[in-house]
Parts: sequence; C-alpha cells; structure tokens
Amino acid sequence: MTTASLDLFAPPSGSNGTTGIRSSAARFADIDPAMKADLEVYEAQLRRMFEGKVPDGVFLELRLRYGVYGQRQDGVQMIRVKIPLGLLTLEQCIALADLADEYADGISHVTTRQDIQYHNVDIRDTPELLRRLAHVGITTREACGNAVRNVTGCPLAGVCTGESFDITPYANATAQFLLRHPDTQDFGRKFKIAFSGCASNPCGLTGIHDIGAIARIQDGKRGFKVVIGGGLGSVPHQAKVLYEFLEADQLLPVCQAISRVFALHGNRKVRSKARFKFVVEKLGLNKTRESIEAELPKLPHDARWTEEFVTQEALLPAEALKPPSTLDVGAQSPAFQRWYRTNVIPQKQAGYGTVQLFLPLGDISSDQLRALVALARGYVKEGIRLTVEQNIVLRFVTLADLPALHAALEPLGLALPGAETIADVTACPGTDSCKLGIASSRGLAASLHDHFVANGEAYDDVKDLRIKISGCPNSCGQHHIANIGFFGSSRRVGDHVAPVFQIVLGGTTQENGKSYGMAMGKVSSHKVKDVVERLASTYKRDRTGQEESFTDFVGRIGKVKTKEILEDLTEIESYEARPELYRDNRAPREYGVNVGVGECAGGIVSQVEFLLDDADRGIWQATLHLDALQRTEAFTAAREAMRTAAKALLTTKGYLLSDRFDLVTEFKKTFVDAGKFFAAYFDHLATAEQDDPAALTDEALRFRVEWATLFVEEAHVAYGRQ
Amino acid sequence: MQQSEHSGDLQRIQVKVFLERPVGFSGDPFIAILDRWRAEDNAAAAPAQPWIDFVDYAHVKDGPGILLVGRELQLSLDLGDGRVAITLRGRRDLLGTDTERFTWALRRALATTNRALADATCPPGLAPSHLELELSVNDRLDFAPGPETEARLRGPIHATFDACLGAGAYTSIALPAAAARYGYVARSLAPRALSTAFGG
Ligand code: SF4
Repeated sequence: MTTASLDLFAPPSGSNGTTGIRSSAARFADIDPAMKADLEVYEAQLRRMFEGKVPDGVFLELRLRYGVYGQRQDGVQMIRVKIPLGLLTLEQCIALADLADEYADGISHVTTRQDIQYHNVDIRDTPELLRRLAHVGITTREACGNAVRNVTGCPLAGVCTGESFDITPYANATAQFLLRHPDTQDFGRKFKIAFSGCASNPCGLTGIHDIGAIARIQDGKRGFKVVIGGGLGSVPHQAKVLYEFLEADQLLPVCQAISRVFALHGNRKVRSKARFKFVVEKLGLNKTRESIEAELPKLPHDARWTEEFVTQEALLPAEALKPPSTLDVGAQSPAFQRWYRTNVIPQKQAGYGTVQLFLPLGDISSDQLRALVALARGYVKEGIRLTVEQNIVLRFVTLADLPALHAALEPLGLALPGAETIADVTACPGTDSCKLGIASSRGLAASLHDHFVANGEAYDDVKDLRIKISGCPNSCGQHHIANIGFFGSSRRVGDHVAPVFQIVLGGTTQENGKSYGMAMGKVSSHKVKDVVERLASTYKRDRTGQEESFTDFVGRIGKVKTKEILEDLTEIESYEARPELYRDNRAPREYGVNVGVGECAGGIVSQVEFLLDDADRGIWQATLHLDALQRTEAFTAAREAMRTAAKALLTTKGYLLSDRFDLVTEFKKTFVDAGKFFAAYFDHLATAEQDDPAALTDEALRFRVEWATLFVEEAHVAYGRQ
Repeated sequence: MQQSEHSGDLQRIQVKVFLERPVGFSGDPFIAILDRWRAEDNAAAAPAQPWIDFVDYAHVKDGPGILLVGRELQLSLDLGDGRVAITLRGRRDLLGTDTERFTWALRRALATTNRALADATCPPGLAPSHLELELSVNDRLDFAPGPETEARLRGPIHATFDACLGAGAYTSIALPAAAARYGYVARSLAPRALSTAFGG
C-alpha cells in the first residue's frame, strides 16, 4: 500500500512494526550513565507493556516516575520535564523547542513548579524524546509519581537585594542528592521541596511545601530556617517550623532523614491522606521532629552532604556578559517605561537588571523560544530561569541594553508588560488535559488575559493583586494563596449543567504564602471577569489607603459585605435565558450532561436542588461562625451542610426524607461504593460524625469547614454527572 | 533511487497552505470548526477514533493557533510568523516513496483547507490569493537542515510542487535558518484558486 492510494480523510496506519516505538538508543550512547540506565529500564518496560507482559498498574507507576503522565484524552501523554530551580542553558532551551515541535504541540508549558510540560505526546515516541532530553543533561526521572518532585527556588537567587545568600547551589545540591536516592524511592505520595532566599518575598513559596528551606545567616554561618508539612491540595496546610536555624551542612542529612520518616509513617492506604502534611498532623510537630532526629544517627556518613554544594557552586556561576551600566528610564518611551515598571527588577549587582518575560498561561512556542535564545546570546551569559509564576527571567542584563532588548522582544510577543501583576494569571491545566478537571481553568485564564490586554491600564492602581485558578479543588493552580482565587465546580440548573468557579478570597503569596483564602460562593465561569472588575474597583475605592492590602481589606469589610458586593453576579440564569453560561470559556460545546426534559422526576429534581442550595447556605453560615470564633456553631453548620448534601443526593435514588435510614451507611453504599462520589470527601462526613468540636484545634476546625465545602461541591458535581 | 545514502524514515512532514490574513482576523471560529470535524470524522471512522481532541493556543502570539490532535497527524489553524495557514503535521505511519508521502500530505492539507473555507462559519476574507505552500520536515534527528537532507529531499519536494503547481509556474525558496527545519516554500507566479492545484 502507498499513501497515494489512501483516503484523504483516513490517515494511513499500520506500519512501523508491532509497536512503532521510537528508541534511538544507539545514537545516544554517550549520555550520562545514570540517565542511560534509567532509560533502558523505561524502554524495556514500555516494550513489555505493549506485549502484555507488565500489569497496567505496574507500568503506570513506572511511567509516572519517568515523567510520563496520562491525559484526560486517551492515547496521548503529558511529559513533565524536571528543571531544578528552573535553570536552563541556552542549548537546553533549543533542545526543548525542537522536541516540542517534533513530539508535542510546538508549545513548552512552564508550570508553577518550574517544570516544562509537553502535551499530546504519543507514548511510542517517549523513549526517543527522553533520550534526546538526556543528551542535553535533562532528566524527567521523578518528575511525577510518588517521589521527590522538582526542587524549586527563587528565580532571583544570587541577584536579589533582599536575600540572605544565594540558595542556588544548595537547592540544586538537594535536587541532585535526593534524585534516585534509596531513601526516596518508597513514598506513598509525592514530596515537594522549595528554597527561598528570604522570609518576606513570595518567590520561594516555602510555606506550601513538604520541606521549605529559607536562607538565614546566624553568627556568620550560612543555614536555613526549615519548615515542614505544608501543602495546598483540596485542604491546605501551612508548613510548621522544624528548625529556626539549621546549619547548611546539616541540610542534606536532615532532608534524607525526613524522607525516611515519610517513607516509614506515610499513609499508603488512603491516597488523599498520604501526603507528608498528614504525617506531621498525625504525629504532631514535636513527635515528627523526634522521629527525624532518631533517623539521623542511623545514616551512614555521605561525603555529598557537604561536597555537593561545592560541586554545584562551581557548575552554576552567576556571570554577566557585559560590564555594568546606567540607564535614564525617564528618557525612554512610555511603552518601555510601562514594561520596565513591572518586568525589570534591579539586581543587587549595581548596573544590572533581571528581565521577566510574561508568558500568558505559561506557554511559549518553539519559534518564540528559539528566537529568545538567539536574542539572549547578545545580552546574557548564564542562560534563563523559569519562575513559579510561569514566566522566564533573563538575569544580568546590563541596564543600558534594556531599551534594545525590549524592542527586540516586542515582535516576538515576549514584551508584554504586567509580569507578576493582576494580569499575570496563574492557571492549572484543568479540563484541557487533566483527568480531574471540572471546569476550564485555562479557558478562563485566556479570557481574563484578553480582558487585561484590552483594559490593562484600568487596573494600574491595583496591579499588585494576584489571580490564580484551579480546575478543581486540588489547587494545582494555587488558588488558596491568591488574593482572588478560583476553583472549578459545576451547577446543575434544571436539565442543564453549568461550569462555575468558587471564589476564594483572602490568601496571599507574601511571606512565602503565609495565609490561605476561604471560599466565598460561586459564580458562572462567564462572570468571573465581572467579579474581578467588581472586587478591584471596590478595593480601589474603599481601601483605607495605599498601604491596606487586598487581603486586609477583605478581612476588614468582612464576608457578609463582600458577599453583598458580589450578590447580583452569583445568579446562574436558566439555559433558556442565557445558554452561553452552559458552555465553558473558549469551549466549543455544551458543558457537562444534558439529561433531557419531560421526565416525571421533575419533583425530585427540584427537591435535590433545593437541598443542595440549603447545603450551600450551611457552608456560608459555617464560615461566618468561624470568623466570629463561634466554634461549636461553625462545626455544627459544616456537618449539617454535609448531611443535607448527602440527603439531597439520596433523594435522587428514591429515598424520601421522611424515611428512617442511617445516612452515612446508605450514602456510602449508594454513592461512594458505587464510585459516584469521591471517597476522600465522603471520609469528611464520616469523620465529622465522630468529632467532638471542643477537642479540635483552631486549625482542625478550619479544616472541618473546608472539608464540608469540598463535600458539598462534590455533591453538586455528582448531581451534575447524573 | 532517491534515498540511497540516507536511511531516515520520513514521517514528520509539515505542510502549510498560506492564506491571506483579513484585517481584524480572529481564529476563534476554528474552535468550533475543528471540534465539529473531530466529532464528524470520529463518527464516520468508528470504531477507530482518528482525532483525539482540539487544543487552543490562540493566546500565544504568532503561535501554533488552534489544533486538532490526531493519532497520526495534527491539523491546525496556524498563526505562526504573524500569518495564517492551514497546517498539517505528520506524526507517524506514512508509507511509500518520499515523493508519495509529500504528495499525500499536500493533497490532504489542500483538502483540509477547502473544507475549512467551505465551512459556513469560516471567518470571511480568509482565502489564498497566490497558492503559497510550505513543504518541510519537522525532524531534526534524521532530517536536519544540511547537505545530506538536501540531497535526499530537494528532488521529492520539488517533484511534489511541480505536480501541484505545474513545473515552471512557481518560485521556491528554502526555509530560513531561523525556522530550524528543512523545507521549501513555493509560491505560484500568478494568483490562483485552490481548485487549480494538482491540475484541478
Ligand atoms: S487543580 Fe484539579 S484540574 Fe487543575 S491540574 Fe490539579 S487536579 Fe487537575
């Protein structure tokens, strides 16, 4: 058969042997031996999987360990490329651009953890793709799966005016030391580590990590404040202080000991309770510390505990291409000045600036990346860094070069002003590719991006606000630490289901993500823009002064007033009145399930909706009680909201409210065991039935209210799926 | 035999059919168009599902645009270089000689362009004036720009252009180094309709 004879609309297939796996092993024989060994294992297992010789579950965990992640769409994979601290040489950037073109969509996506992700990759291409990455010194090993994920850190490390010292060699040494380490291979869940050069700025976000290390100098010695057990997810935990000061040469053994404690005490049965934050919660901070310190003497001495820092310091010199210079910013064009204000950060090295390239939705095309490399060669020496804000920085640009650099970035679409402002929206993949996505976080981010491009100057006075979006409660978009956060959910109205977003207010990225926001009610995905406009204009008008932060402002006016401000926007009109509300942002088809009309279940439908609305109200009451420190009332309202939501769903299965039944047992049997309700959220109801509110700490009480919110949201989603 | 010295398997063929970009152009209607194609083609090919999903990169300036991702190829409304094109990117499973593969890919891209332009929701004004076509290879491992690739593929690419546009009826230039892939762009000497390709 030749292609000439083929139907134009049926692509030819069936060649390339039994699996069509692209390998290229022989061409890349010279790669790092450890990476080579990894890839031999990966390719052998992939081949065995195609031959039916490896159970799917075993291959799944293996491929995750190599950064190969299933997408929502069958038949294609997301590849997560681990870039410690987001550090890339220009040669590596070229390789990344080429691989995005050849194996993916021509896009490199920068994640909130300084990785690069490719989407829509054929699994049969992965051995060749991974070898080509290894050829330029990049591994995907432990980028996904139950392992130490990418180690992140401030992109300004080494150039920041406020840092204690440059964390780059320490963070990179930690990444290299823990990679493939025997003590990190037996976790029940993922494990995340972040470094920050100071305690006050948000770049490291150490408070939301399993281990956070914040640079400190004490008595002339370098060391770290070490925090543990933080994490976002559906219920966020603030990291707790393990050591106020740990000398730098103790850092790696302590990280190793923490890894062992996680492996020993982590919950392996219940995935939603398996993160390290639950170990810290279960053991308590003191017992966790004792367990870590009990592991330390057992560790055989390892020369890398100190040598690795030296190795990394030598590998990663911070160097400028050109001598320092000065620039009269006021003499430049208005467009330059606007860009300079938000996208250039003066360095501690006088005469140099760090330039931040704002990438909408964290995406950069291969053409842009290649052009950026060609440009960067004329301005910087050390390569680029990816940021947790899904952007790119170029460091050590001599100041006099900035106007020329700005002019050269403009035609590439890489000179957008507004980096790390309200316009720089963070979003997780959401329903575009994530299996757990409920609403389109990227579609919403793209719509907001258009809005800010068109109306950017209207937000100049409130540009420091940050917006972060997750497609579900799991918080990969970090909505809890946004000033204005959103997470995806759904609402059924009659026979149609609408995509909605829960509004989460009161979080902050400041002080490494020190406070988390709380849910404030939901809004159609098409009205989010109006919510942002309303909140921004109210804040601008009513704040007590420039120094009042948005988080303080929301706290001052209170939840009731905030809800009043947004009240008219929270209505979800019927499908008949506004059909566009039942289609997600930038989505081609109606969202969710349309169950048709005319069934005699009309009465039941109205009852379930009525009860779910009651549950929403209960959650709202619980948050108000929590604010007012009415502990028992908050707990009771949260528990009742869950009970009401559970009853609501049971009514759709023929249960009558007047029936006598054990709610927890029947709900479990009917929904949880049948796979129609997320089991981890059900646990929240079961736990609440046993809890004594008087015995709960303040943090545990807040968790109960958050759990109840998640339970009720899941009830809405489960109802939408029916 | 054209590929005697070079053993690479030609799969990642990229074809662009360039279109005039109307003033105020928005590619957004292609979200619905490509999604409709996905549903129609998958229904027609059932149980095979040649198309996986559409992807929206319209927010990336001069980027890949709006894509329909398939198992063997991708189609897109391509916004690269500030232009508009219907682009086909082969991924795997092409058979035949190099010329046959280029020809199949080009015919397929032209048929796709016709299908797009005939769609009632296609943005008005989107059409070719001259026939302007790119044939390139998105494979830097086996077909990096250079003399070996030139020796193997220049002939098949131009044989394909000859068949499509008529020998002597077009000019062709090699892709610039910045494109970082091997290939040529051909442009008909005179304005031409799509229907005149491959002898009408
Ligand atoms: S927040 Fe939810 S939708 Fe977004 S990437 Fe995480 S799991 Fe997926």
